[in-house]
Amino acid sequence: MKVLVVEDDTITRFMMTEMCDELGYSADTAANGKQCLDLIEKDPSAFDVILMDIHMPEMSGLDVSNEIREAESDPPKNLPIFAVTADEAWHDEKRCKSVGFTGVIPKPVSISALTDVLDAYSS
Amino acid sequence: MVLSSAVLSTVAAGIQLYYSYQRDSSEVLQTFGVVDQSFRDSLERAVWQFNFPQVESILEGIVANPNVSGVSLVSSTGQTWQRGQSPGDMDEFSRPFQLTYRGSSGPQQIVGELRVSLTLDDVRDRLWAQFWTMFLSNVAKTLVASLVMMLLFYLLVARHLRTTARYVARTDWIRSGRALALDRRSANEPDDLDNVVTAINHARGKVLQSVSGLEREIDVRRQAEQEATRASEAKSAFLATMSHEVRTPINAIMGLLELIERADIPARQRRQAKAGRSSAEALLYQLTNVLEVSRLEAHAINLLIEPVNMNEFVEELRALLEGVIARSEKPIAGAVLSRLKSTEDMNLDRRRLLEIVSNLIDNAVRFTEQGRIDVNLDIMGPVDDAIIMVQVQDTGIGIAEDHLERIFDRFAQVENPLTRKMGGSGLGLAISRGLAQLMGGDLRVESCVGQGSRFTLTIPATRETIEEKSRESSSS
Repeated sequence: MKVLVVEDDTITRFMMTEMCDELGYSADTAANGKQCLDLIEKDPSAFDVILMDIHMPEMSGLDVSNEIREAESDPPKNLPIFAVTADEAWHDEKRCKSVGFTGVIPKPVSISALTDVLDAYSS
Repeated sequence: MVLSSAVLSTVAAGIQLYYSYQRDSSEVLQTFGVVDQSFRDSLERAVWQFNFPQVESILEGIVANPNVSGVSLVSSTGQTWQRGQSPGDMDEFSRPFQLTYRGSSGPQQIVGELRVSLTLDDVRDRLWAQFWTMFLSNVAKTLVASLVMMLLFYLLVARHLRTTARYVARTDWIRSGRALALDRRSANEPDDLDNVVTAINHARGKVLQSVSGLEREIDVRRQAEQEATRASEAKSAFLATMSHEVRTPINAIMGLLELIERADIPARQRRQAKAGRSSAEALLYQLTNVLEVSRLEAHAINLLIEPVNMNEFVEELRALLEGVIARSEKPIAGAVLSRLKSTEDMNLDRRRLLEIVSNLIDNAVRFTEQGRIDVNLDIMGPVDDAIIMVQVQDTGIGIAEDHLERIFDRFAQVENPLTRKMGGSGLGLAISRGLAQLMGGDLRVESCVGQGSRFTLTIPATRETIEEKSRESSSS
């Protein structure tokens, strides 16, 4: 299984890939929304789960997610995209689902929260 | 004015009429003399000679005088005559005349008595006619005079007053660039109207002056307000950035330390990593609190009011309470008691309300070593104006009375070695009360040292109405 970590902060990006590594999943990274979209455009089936930071400069995580959903709309693929954010307003599963996310992982990211999400898609 | 002149002239006419009456009535009384001089001798002779036709003709002659109302004659031989009205009692206007006759020889003899009554009817008629003439001419004069005066008054005063009134009644008279000016010749000495105009223009000038002063003041304040708003917005933006920029590295530190803890390292290093992570967690907690206070101060907190199922909310509280007590590993019993009767949804900010209650529960557990913590939930008041009440009661150390209000002050943790030992920035209750007040409610405390504390949170909320519900379900 392949995970894509979209995160503008270098150290956080490093920490996230290390956590995925620790849990036995290999992760690619994108430092901003444009990189993320380019990677997916190159190979739409390259990733099984996307961990999407919300607060990023230029393109927010929500914008990127919306573009991915639009691109995969025909046929609908429903790539799992998880919002990763410290903003408490986003720590609401219902709200995240209503705007196209699969779920939410609150920051600070704990290994147990990440395990729950990744294990659910590893099979 | 016209009326009083009419009254005056009427009084003058009355006086004139009175004197004329006096004069005329004395003229009437002179009729007695006329009768005495003109008729007496011939009458005496006629009676003496028994010349009755002569007597009658003389009496006719007396009565013919318009001032005589009646005349009667009784002769000494018993004959009586009467012409006109029978003369009544003798008074000022009725008089007896002794008729005597002296023949060519012999003494003077009484031959009879003549009674003559006079009347004022004629005088009165004349006076009435005079009165009416005077009265009517007076009325006519008064009418003409008042018409002339009204016209003059209108031309000289009333139309100018009307112009003045219209000028002042116009709503924009102060702001319009025109001072009040009347269309009239100005005398050398200013009269009352000129004074009124001057006073109005003076007042207008004063008002204009203070209006422009106020406008300048408003401009200055508006500018200050805009600057304050800009500053406040800048502060909010700065806080949002701070929040993100500072939390990001702390979050990374926590994740990396957690990874280190999991690594295959000696137990001592694992303890150190764990301590480092707790420390980062505490730092994050404090940071979040400080930012929350700043946001409360900057009014940068937006409430998210939505329908909340109260039964689900009670379940959330129950899970929260059990979780906090379990983590504390203290011998504390906890219970959530809900007195909600209906299952209706309430409109409120679920996350913020939960944040406050969670903070209260955290405090209760922190300051209670053993015993119980009870959370009571109730909804009071009518449907459209209800109040949600949440009480958190503990059996902890309690708070001294003189500290009761200070616990809500920012950064003012109650001076107590025990609380210092237990940690906390002292921001939790300030934030909780700030949030409660932001939601239109309040947070209060009752406490007894050694027995425990009871925090009461009240938040006004409306119930989700049935109409809204059906509309939502039909639209979805």
